[in-house]
Amino acid sequence: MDELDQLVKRRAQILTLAAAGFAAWQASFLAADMSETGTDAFLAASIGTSLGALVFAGAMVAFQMFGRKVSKLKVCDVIDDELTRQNRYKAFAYGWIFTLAVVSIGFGAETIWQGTAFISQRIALIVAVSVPMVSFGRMELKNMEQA
Amino acid sequence: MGKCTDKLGNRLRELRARHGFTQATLAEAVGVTRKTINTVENQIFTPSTILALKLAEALEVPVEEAFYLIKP
Repeated sequence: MDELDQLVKRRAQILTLAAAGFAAWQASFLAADMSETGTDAFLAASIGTSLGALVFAGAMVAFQMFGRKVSKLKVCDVIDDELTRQNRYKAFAYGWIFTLAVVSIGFGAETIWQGTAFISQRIALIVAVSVPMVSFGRMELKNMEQA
Repeated sequence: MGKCTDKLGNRLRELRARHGFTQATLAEAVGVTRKTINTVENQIFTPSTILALKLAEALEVPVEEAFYLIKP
């Protein structure tokens, strides 16, 4: 595997890690909001929030370092070629579709169970941020496996 | 339901082998990643006209020799 392949793989891994960290952070935050202060559930959710935020922050730092490495190697255009751009557009489209689905379900749920809007809003946020990152990473890794 | 659109076939693998290119070296020659060359070869990804012309140029053949239409 040459250096470019490794960079493509690294980018997909960092984005997947960032998505997982963000989802864990926000889902735990939601769980903490829904549990009573001082309970074991609240403590577990608070730990999850901190760990998720740390993973997300770590992934963002790794992504900054990755960007510097790509600039240094002068391979920005190559690593962002037309297949990569197509994968990115598709990933955003998946994110939009899933977010729309969550928002629609959220509206329906709110009419049945009053006061659940904050849950669907938080889930919509998680989906809107995580789905594009995960699907982009998956498509990139799949393209590499096919190689 | 059958497919309604034309597909872009290609002879990249054969032409690449004839010129002694690997996927990586051909990718480097046209300024894309190896996964792009592979997905074009396997007809997973349809390249832009610009990339198709660059590939044909790198393989020293007219573009219509490297790429052809597959009718549905």
